[in-house]
Amino acid sequence: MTEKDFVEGLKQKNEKVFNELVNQYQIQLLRLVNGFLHNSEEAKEIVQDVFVEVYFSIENFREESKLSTWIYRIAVNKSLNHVQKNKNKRFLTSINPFKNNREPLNIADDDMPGLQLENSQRAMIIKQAIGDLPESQRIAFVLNKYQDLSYKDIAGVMDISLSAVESLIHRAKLSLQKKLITLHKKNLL
Amino acid sequence: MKCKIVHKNMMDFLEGSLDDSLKYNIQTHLNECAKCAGMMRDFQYMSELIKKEKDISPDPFMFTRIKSKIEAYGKEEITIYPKLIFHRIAAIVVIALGISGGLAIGSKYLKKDKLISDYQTEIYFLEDTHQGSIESVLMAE
Repeated sequence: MTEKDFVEGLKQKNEKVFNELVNQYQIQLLRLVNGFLHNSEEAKEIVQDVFVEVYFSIENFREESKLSTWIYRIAVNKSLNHVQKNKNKRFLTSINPFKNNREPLNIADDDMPGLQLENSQRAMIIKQAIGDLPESQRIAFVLNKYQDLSYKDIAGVMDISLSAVESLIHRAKLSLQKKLITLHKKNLL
Repeated sequence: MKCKIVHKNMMDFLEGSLDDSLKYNIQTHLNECAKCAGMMRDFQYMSELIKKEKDISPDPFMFTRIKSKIEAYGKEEITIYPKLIFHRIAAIVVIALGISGGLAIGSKYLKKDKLISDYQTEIYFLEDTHQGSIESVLMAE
């Protein structure tokens, strides 16, 4: 199904077309949103909201950009809004060691519970470092690393120039490197 | 090679986006410098973490859930409308009651004010006892 077919079908509220769109974009959107939220359950909720907005707002899509660019833009906005809304809540839970809604992440250490705990702490610190990047750097970084979008496509989603994307990703990498090296030197990683 | 150069290029090294000579020099440095090798392990962990987070499974009920959300929004639109009308009517009633209550209370005070003004008039009449002001007495002296 071509992009034009999708747009036409969505404008006619064709359920089959909408179902096809959900199937085609679900995984990509889950990856993207999860890059901002680091919580797969919350990411599923947000992706549902993204599709609901696509369904209701397709009339506003002026076809000046690709449909995927428009959908990614909605997903980025919804993710950032969600992060902003939960900022205070997340801060409180992150400083409370007994209540943490972020998912522990095990990377091939299933047989070693001690290492698993250490890794989940490391994972949290790294996620925090990504989350602490300035907003535009974070958007560019997540679109590049979690969504594997090209710099050109990122420029489309963020509505900025190609050189601006290059600069944002370069600064994001430098900032992350600096942060991780500092954490490593302090034995926090 | 200095550690600083390795630190600056760690992410690009892992992404494989460096030119061959720089890549080789960094690899040689990592084989000799335990500190930089330890840091590189952190960066490797970060890229594994991102890979793991990207490895997300699709939700088989995604479309059903989206459909029910869309239907719920449709219902909300219908139910929100009478709610809004009720809120507006309630606001008008409250304002009307407030105004009429205010007028009723105000009219009571108006009557009291009238009594006070009557009393004040009486005082004014007392002035008319031809006693004169203190200044006029002083001037006469």
